[in-house]
Amino acid sequence: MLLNLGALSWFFVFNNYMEETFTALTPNATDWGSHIGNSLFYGSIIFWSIAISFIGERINRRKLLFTSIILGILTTILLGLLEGTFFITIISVLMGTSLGLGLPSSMALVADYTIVENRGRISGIILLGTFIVASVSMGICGILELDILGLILLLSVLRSISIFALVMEKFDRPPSIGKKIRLHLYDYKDFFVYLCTFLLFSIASGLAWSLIPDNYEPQVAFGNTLRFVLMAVFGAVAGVMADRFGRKQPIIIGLAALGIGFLLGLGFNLSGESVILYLTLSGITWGSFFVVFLAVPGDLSFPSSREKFYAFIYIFPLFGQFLISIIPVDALLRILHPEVISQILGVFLFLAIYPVLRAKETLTESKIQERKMKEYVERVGKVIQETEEEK
Amino acid sequence: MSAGKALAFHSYKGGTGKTTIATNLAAFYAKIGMRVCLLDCDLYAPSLTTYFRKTPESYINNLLAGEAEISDILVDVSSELGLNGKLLLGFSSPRKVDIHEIEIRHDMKWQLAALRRFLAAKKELFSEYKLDYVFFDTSPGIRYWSVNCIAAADFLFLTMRASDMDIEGTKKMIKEVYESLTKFGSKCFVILNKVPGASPIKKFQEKANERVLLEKDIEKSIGIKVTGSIPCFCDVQFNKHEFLSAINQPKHRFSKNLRDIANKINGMNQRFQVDEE
Repeated sequence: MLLNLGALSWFFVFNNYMEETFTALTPNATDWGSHIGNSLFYGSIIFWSIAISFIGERINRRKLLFTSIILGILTTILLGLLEGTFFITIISVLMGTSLGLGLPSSMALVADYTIVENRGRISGIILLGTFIVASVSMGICGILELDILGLILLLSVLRSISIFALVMEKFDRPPSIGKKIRLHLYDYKDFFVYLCTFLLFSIASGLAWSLIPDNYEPQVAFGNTLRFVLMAVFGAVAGVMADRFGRKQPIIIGLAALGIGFLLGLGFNLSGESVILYLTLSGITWGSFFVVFLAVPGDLSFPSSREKFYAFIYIFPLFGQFLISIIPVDALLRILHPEVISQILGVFLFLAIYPVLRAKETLTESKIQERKMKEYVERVGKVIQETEEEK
Repeated sequence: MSAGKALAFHSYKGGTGKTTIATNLAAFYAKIGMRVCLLDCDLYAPSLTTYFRKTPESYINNLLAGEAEISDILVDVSSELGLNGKLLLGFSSPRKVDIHEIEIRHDMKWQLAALRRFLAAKKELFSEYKLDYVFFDTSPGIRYWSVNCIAAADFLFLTMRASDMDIEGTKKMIKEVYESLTKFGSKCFVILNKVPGASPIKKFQEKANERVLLEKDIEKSIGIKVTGSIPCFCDVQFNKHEFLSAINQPKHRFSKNLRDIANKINGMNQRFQVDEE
């Protein structure tokens, strides 16, 4: 949990302030921060995540995680010590590298240390911790009006959280890793169906940002903090739901929340309040989706293929961010009338439902039934106890 | 109130002989003058209506739904069977629609409400009918009504064969169900059924200590005391309509084995009653 909490909270907080950080540290190159720095950061996460998902199996997991964390801490600290386009270029690549090296293994560990019956809840707890830490950090930044150095100090602390996990655990690969399991295309089919939903959802969610004009920046800043709080809460709720009713339920609820968000928040009469409302509802969706997409790759993969499954899950939204950082998607979309974008969003959201319907429920009916009976046995015990007391 | 006890016969899998053992034990106790009630609690696959060839007016299903009292569902077969004591029977409905209702339509809340009615009926059976034993012939596995019967019983008898599948399944049930429910005071035992050794060919027949060793082995494996074991008798097992062999064929080895178990249960009951006092 600490391993993921440290990496993810660092990423989300940094992601929120990345543009202004890079811009502030490269005063001579105005476009650098908003485009190249971001694209290098996202690009290196994507590159290393894919590379590690293929070769990570041959590397000692503990050493890999250690390298990733130390690199993350050092580059974050260096961000405060160096400035200028050259240094920041290298640092942004190294920061992305640090995350790309560690994230697939960190996420795969969630699956290794859990079973299908509790994977949803454990994922929910990880996200609860991550987004509480992230929202508190963002709250601190806002309230104390931290400068770049303060922010970098905070980020270094966040990245250091993961080191405690390495002190507490060895993180050896599970014994079955020695047995090479060959996956066939069919084994990936169910995963790709879930991936399609995530992809369509990521596109719809990404497009929605272009409906929010720049003059709503204060509302977006406040709404984002609120969004993180809701991601924490609904991450935990969705975790319980995923273990109780199956993995598909939180996705459906998440998509419904996003649909309502589009309608009430962005669909008509755009105002500061409606932007906050949309971000709040999107927090519910992201919380629900994150949990499921932390649990499902673990349900569907073998220990030898886990890193690949996890890397593929998160590189899609990152790839979207990467594209936005190199192509002026926002500017292109603003050529279109907001109503047209709204309609496109609706189509994507509608399409996202179809793969969910087709997807295999990874929490099997027998497991749901088993849990139900366990709960029933407990309740029966209480009834018997009451009857005994009446005697 | 009478110091009667409720005995549940349960198993991990079907076909272990719960119904045969429960009906024969109940009839045996009634034969020797005790007051007994046998309830067909296998609501998902009822068998006592066929076994006793009876069609009652009301079923256990009606009792659970709150549509009938316990007195409405009981059928007294004592005089018909020439028993010295009392044998009351409670049948569950073999109608498809009733099975479907119990199995699928009713939710957890309904099942718990039905359990309360069932517990009240059990209380009434002991207080009003002065019964020595109430038998619950349960459904196999972990389902609402097997759990309810296990919870409502004072003595739980796990009927099993000495096969790996039964042993492993029983271990799972002990962990998931019995341990949670027996902490409220009920006692759990094993009855081994269909064990090898009843062959008509002498060289395949069991030796004196073989069954004792098997019982010890099972006790060690699942951690529950074995009350007794019954060999597999083809003429009982594969009889088209086995009907109360324990009282109709008293000299049969099956009946002898069953009597041993019945005496052990009586002995245990008395011992526990002394302990309770």
